[in-house]
Amino acid sequence: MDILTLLRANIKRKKGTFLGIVLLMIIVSMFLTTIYSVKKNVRKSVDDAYEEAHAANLMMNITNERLTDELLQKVKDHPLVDHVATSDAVLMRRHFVKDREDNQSWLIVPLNDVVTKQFEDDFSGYLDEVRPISENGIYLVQGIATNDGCKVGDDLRFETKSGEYTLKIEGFVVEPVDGCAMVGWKTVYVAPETFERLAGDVDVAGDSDVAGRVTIVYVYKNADCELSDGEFARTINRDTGIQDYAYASATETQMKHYTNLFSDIICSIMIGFAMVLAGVVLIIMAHNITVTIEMSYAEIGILKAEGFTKGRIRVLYMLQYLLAEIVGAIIGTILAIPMIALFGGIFQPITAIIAKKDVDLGTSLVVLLVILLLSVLVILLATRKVAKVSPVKALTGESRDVYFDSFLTAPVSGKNLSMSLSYRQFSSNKRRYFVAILITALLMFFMLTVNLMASCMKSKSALEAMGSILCEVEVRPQDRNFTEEEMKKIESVVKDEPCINKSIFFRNEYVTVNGNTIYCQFYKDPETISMVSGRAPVYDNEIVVTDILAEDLGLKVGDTLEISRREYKEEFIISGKFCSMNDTGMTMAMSDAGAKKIGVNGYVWYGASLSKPEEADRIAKVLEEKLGEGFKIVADSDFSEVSDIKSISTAVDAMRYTIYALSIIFVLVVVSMICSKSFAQERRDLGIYKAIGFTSGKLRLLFALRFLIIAVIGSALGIVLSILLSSRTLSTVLRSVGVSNFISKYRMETILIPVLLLLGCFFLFAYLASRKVKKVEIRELVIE
Amino acid sequence: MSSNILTAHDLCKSFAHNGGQVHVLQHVDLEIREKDFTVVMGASGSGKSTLLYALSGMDKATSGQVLFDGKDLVKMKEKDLAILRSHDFGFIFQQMHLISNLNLLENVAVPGYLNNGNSASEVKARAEKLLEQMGISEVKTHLPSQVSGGEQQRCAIARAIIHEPKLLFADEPTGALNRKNTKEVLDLLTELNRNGQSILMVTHDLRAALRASRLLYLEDGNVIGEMTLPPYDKEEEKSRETQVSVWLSSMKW
Repeated sequence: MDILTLLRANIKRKKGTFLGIVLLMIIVSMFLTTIYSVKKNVRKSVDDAYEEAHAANLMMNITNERLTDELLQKVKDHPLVDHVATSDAVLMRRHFVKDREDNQSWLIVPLNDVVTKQFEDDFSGYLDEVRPISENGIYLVQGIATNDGCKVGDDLRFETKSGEYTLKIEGFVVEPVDGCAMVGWKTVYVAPETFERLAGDVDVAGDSDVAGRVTIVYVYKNADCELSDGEFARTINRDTGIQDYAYASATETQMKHYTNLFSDIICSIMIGFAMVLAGVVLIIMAHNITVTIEMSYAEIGILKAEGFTKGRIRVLYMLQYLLAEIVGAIIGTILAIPMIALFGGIFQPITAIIAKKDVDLGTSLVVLLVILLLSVLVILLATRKVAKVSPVKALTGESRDVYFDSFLTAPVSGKNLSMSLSYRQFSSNKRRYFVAILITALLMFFMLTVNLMASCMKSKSALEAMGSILCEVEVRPQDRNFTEEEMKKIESVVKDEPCINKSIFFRNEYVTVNGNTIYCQFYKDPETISMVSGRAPVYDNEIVVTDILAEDLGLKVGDTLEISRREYKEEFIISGKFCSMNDTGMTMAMSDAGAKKIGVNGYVWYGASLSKPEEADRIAKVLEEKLGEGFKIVADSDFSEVSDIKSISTAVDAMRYTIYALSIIFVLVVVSMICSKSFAQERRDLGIYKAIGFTSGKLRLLFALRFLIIAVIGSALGIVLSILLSSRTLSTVLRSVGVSNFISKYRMETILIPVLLLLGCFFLFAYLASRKVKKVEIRELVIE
Repeated sequence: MSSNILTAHDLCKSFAHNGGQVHVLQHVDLEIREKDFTVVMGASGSGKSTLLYALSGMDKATSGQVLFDGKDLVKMKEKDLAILRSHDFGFIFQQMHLISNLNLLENVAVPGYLNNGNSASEVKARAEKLLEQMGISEVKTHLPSQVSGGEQQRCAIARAIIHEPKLLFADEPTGALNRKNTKEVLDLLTELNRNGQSILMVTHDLRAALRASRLLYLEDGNVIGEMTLPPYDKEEEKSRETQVSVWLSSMKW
């Protein structure tokens, strides 16, 4: 009962501290519950959509001329296979959305019963049922809207040898397997009669390079098959060889991985940040307890003199802080409910599926419970000093703060009085501000890390270094490979244009490596490959792999691997490792000579990377004049508009601004709490300063400058932490998208924005929090 | 007869207490003369310190006027009062009240830096000279917690006069000191006054009162008695003590 009375009194008297901890815990629990729930909801919604669409365990796109009945029958007869389904499709390579060519391959299929969900036109929800489609209409998936910025009512244009087709976008449907922004091909739907007409025209024109008849093969595992999707696919291919004939294939697990990829990455970073915030709560709590014990030395002494044991006093602190945390956790969890709906929507343009809005109470409660248990530990450690309080010392006032010289002390200078006095206030009580420095460093590290990630999405050189091929000028021959003569013509232009710093002839295909279907890149000039270690694949028996692929297949530089493609089967030596984000890093590359060994001849794409992007239009014109008709030449200096980068960049920016906003709120609470404790401890000094002629305004400036110094030191530490750890952290986090060696490119704005933001917030919040200085009366120094 | 440096008219100061008002100063009229060593005495609770703080502008009077250089301190804004403290007034507290994380030299120099008329190097040189005069230059780099009470109070005096104030206020400056330190501090103040420094001091210590050139007696918030003395001379301390004691007795002290 006595404890409860003291508890009530303590909370009432120190309501600022109590409310501060409540507020911090509200943010932490709201954030954690939101992120855990969103992550689970996105995954669950994707799983449900796959189930509803009866997605196959293995999907392959095979051109009709390669798919034989015999091959299909072999798959159907395989003992691990339950059943096989096929779907007719037209592969369309040349399509224009809002007159801009979309670079992905589209599979046009007739609208069928598998499509069960259609979006409202503004993607805010699902319609009750799928609307019938008109003959001139087309249904797309949301990933296309995300990448190309198209909407219902826009026109689409297709080019085939037999002519052009213009269809109107009549809606967007859910296609869980390839509808997300991260998958490089898309299934789109037209009316059955439109499909028949299109398929007939494609057959007549025979233009397999721009459009062709394709069969989508869906292979379903037996119910008793215990193999993973990957093992199942490898077994089927080993026994039937069907994947060697597919130009694209994927398992259900892979497609789900691609769909969930960015929501998983962003949620993981956010959870990491939430954990840092939870850590900050524990740190600030420990700091508060330590300072409170110092300040309440006399009161604790009196309590001890009255018979309170140290254990009871520690229980008092424990109850006070745990109560604040529990109240904050409950309010935060409740507030998370609307946040889940809000944040879940951020990933919809990437996953192309509306996420559920459920609260993942189980995980959140477990995490909050862990935080509370850690809090108990922290409180127990922080309240150890209670045992050292001597009632006699407390009552005789011997416990007063004594300052000692510090090696960090700098003289107070008359020329720079405010700054030198502020520094003295900091240096003579460093321990008190260590917490603020630590918190600033952690926040700065996180802000810089997400900033690096976000700015990398906007930095051509950073993306190139990590394996993206970003070229301002692109040339594609229509319906065929480049001829030797054409390639020579392009090379002659390159010789005369010094601003072309990378010239790439490229093509890609899926091949089979040790039974796995792997994305393979072919380069005319292997020296243009972004190598990480070893050397480029110069000879015809050499190949380079990414770190991620090497790890996945258990290979290293010098190892041999067997590559099969259709009837070809060859051995290659790994000569080095390179960097590529294609196929989320599961890729390899070889030279022209190597390509020829497995029957890959010629190049279908040329790209020129420019040191002066503004020259793109001129160089495109030069190439156009040199090459003449029959080429698709694109000049685009704004690579940030590249579809997949744009959608990821938007999500990363959303994450960045969330982290900024939460950091600011945390800084506000932390500064207010530390400031109020400092104020209470320094009240006497403030009176003296006023007595010798300092105004309230000047004293508030000293407070603000002191916190500015703290912010500067914390920020510097955060920058050092970032230099040491950001690349490593991001390489680990982004490994799943193929970035195994994240290259941190610190630009002025990467550092300046978070630094100025934190410094500004510290200065401003400290100035605001020190408004109580006005209330300090010099009279308080009088002893009557 | 020297001119008035500070004048109080009808000065009142009240505090809220237990739902009512306690009138500590009641219509005080008073002049403080230039170059005087004025000492205010009175029993505990008579309002001595309250009067000192009201006259120095450290605390606002409830009503009345405190005129300094033709300006009323009661109506002054905080910023102007701060300028007054850093330019024209000096203040010595009973508990010294040095800034605990500044060394003695810095404690003395900081108020001097506030006065824009002086360069930083001049202020520092003057602070060092003052500490030497006060006999504490050897401990100038020590923190207040590392020196004795007497050394702290001497430092506080140096701080109070760093900017050469027109009027020095002292609130029981020897109240927290032992006998030896008390004498040293009083000698310093006497010497300052001898050199032309106007001082207004509050005390209930007879030894301190002996240093006055003018004694005021406060009772229930009113000045009820006044006595003028010749400049302090150590040789005549005995007779001076008798004279003051008699006067204080007449005030029922």
